[in-house]
Amino acid sequence: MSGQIVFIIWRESVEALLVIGILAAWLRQSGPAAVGAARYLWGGVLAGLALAVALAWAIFDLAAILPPAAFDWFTVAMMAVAASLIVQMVFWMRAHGARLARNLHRELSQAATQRHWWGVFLLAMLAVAREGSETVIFLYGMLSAGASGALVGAIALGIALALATYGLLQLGGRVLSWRLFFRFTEVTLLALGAALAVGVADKLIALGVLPYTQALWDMSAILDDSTRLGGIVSALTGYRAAPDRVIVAVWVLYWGGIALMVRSQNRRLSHATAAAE
Amino acid sequence: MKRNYKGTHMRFPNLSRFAMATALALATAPAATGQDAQPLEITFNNGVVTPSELHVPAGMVLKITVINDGDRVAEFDSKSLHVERVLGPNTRAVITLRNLAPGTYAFAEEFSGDIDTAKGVIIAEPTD
Repeated sequence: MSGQIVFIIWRESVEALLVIGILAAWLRQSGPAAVGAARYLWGGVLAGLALAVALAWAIFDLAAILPPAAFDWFTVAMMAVAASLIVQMVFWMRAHGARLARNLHRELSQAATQRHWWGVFLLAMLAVAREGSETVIFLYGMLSAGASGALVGAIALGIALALATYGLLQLGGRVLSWRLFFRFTEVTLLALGAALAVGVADKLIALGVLPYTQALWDMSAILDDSTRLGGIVSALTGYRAAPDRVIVAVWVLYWGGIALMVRSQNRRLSHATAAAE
Repeated sequence: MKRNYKGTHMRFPNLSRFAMATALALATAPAATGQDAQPLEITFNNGVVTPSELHVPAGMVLKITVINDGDRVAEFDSKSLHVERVLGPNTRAVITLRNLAPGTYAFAEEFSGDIDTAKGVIIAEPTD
């Protein structure tokens, strides 16, 4: 039972910690442009914690008043905004990194940079709020059933493990070469974006906007998404063992769109380098 | 977090939620409730799912009431049904499933993890 609690707390917080940890490491690497930007990140985390508690309360207390569909629509909006912010952050960092690497100190305009930091704030807030509300509900439910030493210990261990994950990311940002670390975190964030896009499709199917379709194939023999490991993989990448038509369409559209954006950005960046030389 | 949640707050929301669920079920899904005399219910009790197999008609709008009788938080989770819903201790929620294709859909009480009793299936059967 205790192991279960430790695992759930870690799992519920790992998505948010990945987002925050990667943004923090990126900000440190962004140089003078990012001075003061950490305020937006940690401000977003605090706002997200407040929103998580408010959401948890709403899920408990307002569920009787508000129809469940209202929550689903709210979640859809949160996930869609978070997914597009994640993609935007990745492409911003790619452009920024290329500018630094090629010694192009042609900085973005003040206003564009300011807008970007507000994007960092909003993304941190949504990442913490979405997963945080479930953690709050889970902890509340556990503690309301009676607190014991073992329970409090398990909760503390879960939180410690989550923080250790964050620390590992920061260590990676320092120890690994920046190029390697950036590649890894870039792919991690894009995969999280895919998971969010699949999550949006899930909700839209449940809301009746998109149809239920038959599964196209079943690869649960390789990785079953209802097991612990499969659950983590699907939460972090949008993996489904038996995807139906809608889910496969989301995969194709999302990764196809990313591939097109990478190509057009690479072309633009090499033009910019040529123009500067 | 110390206030007595269960005693003061949970009772009324439960009642009104139940009333709402019943009203919704009666108003929008007469086929589902009329054809099958049994109500469509799934109960969670601290990691035990009852029933572990629920038969429903395919191709209809279904309202399934998920009840958490346990004293812990539970989550109804099903990748194939595209539903994820958190339930506080001693609460219930109604999930709507629209026009399921015939087939077997697995679900689990996710906060209980890999325990076998926390898993179940919804079997959508073709109607004539």
